[in-house]
Order: sequence, then C-alpha cells, then structure tokens
Amino acid sequence: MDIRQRLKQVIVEDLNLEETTPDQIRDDEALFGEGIGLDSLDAVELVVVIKKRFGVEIKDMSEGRKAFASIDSLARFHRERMQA
Amino acid sequence: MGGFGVGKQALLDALHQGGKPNGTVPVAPAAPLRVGDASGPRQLPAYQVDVAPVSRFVSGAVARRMNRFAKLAVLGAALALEDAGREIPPRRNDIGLVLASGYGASKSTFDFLDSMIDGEGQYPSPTLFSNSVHSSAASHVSIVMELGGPCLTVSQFEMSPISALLTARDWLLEGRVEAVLFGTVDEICPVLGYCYDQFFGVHASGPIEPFAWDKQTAVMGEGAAFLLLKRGGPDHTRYGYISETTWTQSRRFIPPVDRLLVLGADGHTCYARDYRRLSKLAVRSTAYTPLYGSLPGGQAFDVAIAALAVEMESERQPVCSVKCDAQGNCGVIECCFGQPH
Amino acid sequence: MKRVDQPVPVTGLGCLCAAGGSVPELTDTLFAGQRHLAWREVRGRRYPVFQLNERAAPPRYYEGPECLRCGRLASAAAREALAHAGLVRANDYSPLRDRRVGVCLGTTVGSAINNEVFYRDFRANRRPGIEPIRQYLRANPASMVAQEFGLTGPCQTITNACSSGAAAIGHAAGWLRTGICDVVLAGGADMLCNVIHAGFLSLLITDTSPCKPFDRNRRGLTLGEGAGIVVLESPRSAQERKAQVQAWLCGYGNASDAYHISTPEPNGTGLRRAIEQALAEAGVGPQEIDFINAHGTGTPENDRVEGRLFPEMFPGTPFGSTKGFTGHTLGAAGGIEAVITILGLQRKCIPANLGFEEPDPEFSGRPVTENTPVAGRWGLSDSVAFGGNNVALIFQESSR
Repeated sequence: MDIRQRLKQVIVEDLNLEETTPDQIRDDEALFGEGIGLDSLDAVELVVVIKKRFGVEIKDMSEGRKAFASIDSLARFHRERMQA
Repeated sequence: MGGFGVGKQALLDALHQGGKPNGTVPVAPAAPLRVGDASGPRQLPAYQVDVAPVSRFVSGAVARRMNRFAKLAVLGAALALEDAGREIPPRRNDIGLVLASGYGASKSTFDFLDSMIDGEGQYPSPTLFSNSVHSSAASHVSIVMELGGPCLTVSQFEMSPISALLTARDWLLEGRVEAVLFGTVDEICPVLGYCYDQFFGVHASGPIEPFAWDKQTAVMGEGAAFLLLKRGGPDHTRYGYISETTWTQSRRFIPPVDRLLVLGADGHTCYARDYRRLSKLAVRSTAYTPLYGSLPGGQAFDVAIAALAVEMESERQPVCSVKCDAQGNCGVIECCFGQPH
Repeated sequence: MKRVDQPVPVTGLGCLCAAGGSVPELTDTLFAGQRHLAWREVRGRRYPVFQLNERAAPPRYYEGPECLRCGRLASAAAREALAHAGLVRANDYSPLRDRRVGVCLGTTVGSAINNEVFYRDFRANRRPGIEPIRQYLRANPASMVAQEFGLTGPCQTITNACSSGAAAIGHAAGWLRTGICDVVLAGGADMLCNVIHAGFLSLLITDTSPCKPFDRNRRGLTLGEGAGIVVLESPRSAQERKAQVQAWLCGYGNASDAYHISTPEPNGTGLRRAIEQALAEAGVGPQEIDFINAHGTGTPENDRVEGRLFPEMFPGTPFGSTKGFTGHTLGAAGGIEAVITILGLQRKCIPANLGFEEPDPEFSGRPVTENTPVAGRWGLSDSVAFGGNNVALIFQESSR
C-alpha cells in the first residue's frame, strides 16, 4: 500500500476519527486546526502512533509540528528518515 | 442508568417489576483458547449498562476520545439536564458540577498499563493517560454541557456520594452557584470481575439478598445517577427536597422514626452488622440494591428513587437513606416531599 | 447571588516535600534558594525528580506497599500541622476526639489503582493474589489520616488532578462555615509513581532538566512528591481555645475551562473567573493583592496562560512559582503552595522563582528572580488542573 494511504488509515484508526474516512483526507490538507481538525492531544498521540507503526521517532513537538502539517509532509518526513 | 436500563422510565419499570443482573463478567482475562477447548473463563452475573444512547447527545466526533466511564458520566448528566428543562439556571457558569466515583476510571488506568506493557515502556498512549485520571469524566461533562462553574470529583469508596453531597450542599448554601449537577459514576472492569471471584468465589453469583445478614450475596453493578440540585424555595418541587446530609458513625446513628429507612445493604457481609442494627431500630426499612446491584455510588440511586416516588406521589412518607462502609462510617441522606422546616 | 464573607482561621501548617521534611526546613530551603534534586531513569533516559530525602520521609515510607505512601505523606504533614496548631500535645491525640474533625485532601496517585506487578500477572492469567487490592482499599488518603488520628468527621478525597489540594482547602472552609465541622485538616498529598511519570512523558510535557517556570526555554514540568496540610478551624473553636492564627482564608474560587481534556484554554478565562470569585469572596480588589504564588509548572501552555493573565489582572504585582523547589506535586501542589503563601505573608517576603533566566517574548509577565520583600497583607495562590479546572485561594495576614 502507498505510504500516504497507510498514513491516512493509521490516523483514522488510531486517533479514532469517528466521522472521517481515509479517502476524505486530501494529501495536502491541513491535519490540525481547520482541515481535519486534529488538536494538541492528537499531536502527541501521533508521535506515539508513528513510532509504533512506522518505527520513526519524532523527538519533540518542534520537529512534530513540521512533520504533521499534512499527509504530504508526513510522507516526506517518513521517506527522509527511512533513507537516513 | 444501570442494569435496569437507561433513563427514569427504565428505573420506574424496574421498581414495579423488580430488577436482576442483565449481563456477565469473566473472572479472568480472556485467555487464548486452545484447540478443542471451548470453555472460556467462568462468568459472574453483573448489572451492566449499554452506553450507546450517549449518541443521542454527542456526535461521534465529540465522543471519539471518551472512554466508557466518561460516556456514563456524559449520558447521566445529559439525561438529568434534559429532564430538568426550565429548572436549569440560564447561565451555565452558575451550575456547579460534582461527580462522585468509588474507584474512578480504573478501566482506563488498566488500559494505560496495557499500552505501557505492550509498548515495553516505550509508547504508552497520552490519550489513554489523559482519560485515566479520575477528573477526566468531569472534564468531558463540562466540555459537552458547557459548564464553566466550579467542578469537583470525589473518590471516597462507599462514602463518595455523601462526601460529594456535603460539598454540593455547601456550594448552594454559600451562594457559590445557583444549581449543582450532582452525579455518581461507577464502571465494571475485568479486574473487578477477577476481584469478586477471588474475594467471594461462589458467593459472587447472587441474587442479592439485602436482608440475609449473614450471607455474602453481592452482585457487581455499574451505572450513573445524576440529579440537578437547587436551593430550597417556597415553591413545590417535582422531586421533593433533600433535607439532611450527614456524615456519621453507623454505631452512633439512630434512624428517625417517622421515615422510611432505605438501606444501602447490597449483600456484602462486611457491613451487614451495621445495617442489621439500623433496620432493627427503624419502623419501616427497605433496600433497592437488587434493582441496580452493588456499587460504591449506590446511595445516589436510592436518592433518585426517593425523588421518583415523590413525583409519582406513591410515597408521601419522608425517606432516610443510609450507606455504611467497612470502617464504620455512615452517610445519611434524608429526602422529603414538602419543604423541610 | 449571596456571597460568603466569613474568613476562616488557619491555625496550623504542615508540609514535607523535596525542599524539606517540615515547615521550618522548607522555609530555610526556599529562602536560601537551594534545590535538592534526584534523578530517575525512565525509558532509558534520565529525568530529574523532586524526591523526598530519606531523612524527611515518614517512618516506614519505603517499606510496605507503595499505594499507602500518599496516605503516609498526608499523615506526616497532618501530624506537624496538628502539633503546630496546638490541638494535640506530645503525641496525645485524644483532645481531637471531643471535636468534629474532618479531613479533606487532594491527590492523584493516592486514589488510582495502578499496581503494575499485579496487573501484569492478571493480564497473563497468572492469577495474582489480591493483597494489592486489599491494600488499595485501605489506601484512601483522607480515610488513612482519619484512622491514624481517630477522627470521625467527614472525609473527602478530591481527584480534580492538579487543582485538588487547593480545592480541598476551599471545601474545608465550606464545611466550617456551614457548621458540620469544628476543625478540618485540608490540603493534598501525592507521591512519585512510575505509571504517572510515564503518562507525563507520553504527553511530551516533561523536561529533561529541572523545570524552568516562565522561562522562554521551558520544556515542561519536573515531577515531585510530598504533602501540604493546613489546619482550618471555625472562628469560634479557634477563639475558645485561644489558638494562634497563622493566617485567614478569605477567598476561594473554582471555575472550569470547559475547553479541552489536556490543554488549558489559551486565554485563561476559566482561571480569571476563579480568581475573580476569590477576590469577590475576600472583598478585595486586584490592587490589594501583594503577591501571587503562581501554578507555574514550566510547561509551555500553562506558563503562557498565567504569564499573560497576571500582568493584565494584577499589573506590577510580584509573582513566582515555587515548583523549582518542590517540583510539580500534582494533587499536593495546592496544599504545599498554600503553606508557602502563608509563609510569604508571615515573612513579608517571597522566594525567587528558581529556573527563570530568559524572558519569553510571548507574554509580558516576569516572575521574581530573587527573594522579594512584599507588603504581605494579602496573598493569592492559584492552581490549574489538567482537564480544565482552575482554583484560586486568597489568604490574609493573621493581624487583620
């Protein structure tokens, strides 16, 4: 499965987004605030989820904020880490 | 809400028809079954709640981070406010929120431990942690109901309802708030099933016999009971009044003769002696625990039943509800039809 | 709305935490600007903690079941407070039995059933013995204190998270005003616990160096443990036995953000309402408050809220957080900080906000960086909880 698709699926399932399906999330859509509407608790949960599901560690929130902007940025972050 | 169902009518129906356990809880974690071994862990009867009706009050998006404990609280709070209707003070910040729970959100504490153990200490879930603190249910209620007033969560085992009610009363008397949304919430979790089995073995299967003093017959229960309380005024109220809230010692308490004594006796032998003594001193006594089971917040159900009796005009005799604990403490809540003197 | 306006005398203080095993020791540490840190390894990383030193710990603290520790901390602080109040003499607690004495305590760990060993065994179906459950059922901090001293008044263990200790003091005053008690032991107790530590780590609000309240480079809180308890007494009881009044509790405010389960409302409207209630109850204006003991945990969000609100509500009023001495003691914090606020009134001086170096451009509030003389007539202490509960207490000096 495409990494973007997997990310969307994990976000919907692990953050328990009851009324959103993976298909409804656009690649460039803002995950936080306006857009998908994730909040600060989702952000720290996402740090745990990304580490658990993809083995990628996000050290702190300043790193997290950049990575979590959108599915595109998360996929990019994942690729960079996998190559490093 | 409780093993009898959700809402006032369900409780009334149980009062008329009697109640009984409506579910079962395994006494061990669901261990992986071996091939050819169809026997799962043994089950104990329990009074359980289906929290699905919470969706009538909150959307899936809002409820996505609520654990079951918080859903019990939100559902109870929403039903009480819905029922109160015009009685609700116009400014939500004038409503205090008082929540009592014997053991708090212990299921989520164990879920958080699961996430610690499964992640080998690396990845516990912050969402589970946030929901495992005892105050999280009150936080969810305050957010959903937009209650910006004072807020309190009390955890005092069997004495939780009386302890919390003492403060609810103070807030009203001190003029801190115009109304208090008072509720108790207790939830069954797998560890509780294990504990009942370990503590009581074959005696954990009920049925509850509140007046069989020497017999252990408690059946675990869960649920929530919420009441909107206001200061007494000259007007007749639909559900009557709470005229006394007293923390005392069981051995010192003498029940008033003109009241129906409602015992919190729930089939536990550890405080049966105190209940036996109180029932001997009373002219009339009863117990409603077979309707909702054994749970630390049970006394709030007895108060809710007394209030319903006033509404149905089925009971004009004032009620004195007592709850004893194993340390000899006794919570006394008196309810009456007309305004107290 | 009718407002309460009867001040309640505080007649005794008791406290133990990393900054000292008694109120005099705490006072020395605070005004000497000392800090006693320990380190704990969690998930392969070292974190500072404010741990009780062994000399300060109550008897048998490290022996026996961990879940009884909160109650033991509370009992130790209560013992000091009762002796300070002159309500007991030389370990003779019988005078208490003639009075209606209540116990009202905040905690977080003290009411949580989080025995990891038991739960691992349960999960793995190894059928653990239920002794840990029996211990948990004996571990309620308010009940433990009541039993320790043979008290028969009401008990209330408050689990409002980090505002619990302060709320306990506010409710205790209510019990005295409405006449259900003559004396109440009120405050909070909490202990260091790996499960709670792991929770705060998962929220990414734990600093790897000691907390830096209100500093631009603050990274989060540092956990601590301890208990802070005050003896509150009905004016009549205090007068009858000619008790020395340490301070007066004049205002209590409690309000909820109704905003989010783990983040404070960014504009601090709930905290502002709690403070306004406390001011109204005390019958003073913001300009009369001489100093503020801030919640100041060192987390980015909390300190931003207070760092914006204080200059707005109390322009020029000195404030500081004492978490740099005690760590964040969760349910105990409000109790310990009530004691520290009263010490500020008595010494007419407040301790430096340890850990603050660089101002944060995001807010204008600057904590005191050295021991600061204050007029010391009125002191405010605020507590902000995870989940959005806010509490404010206002104390007045004893010679009112």
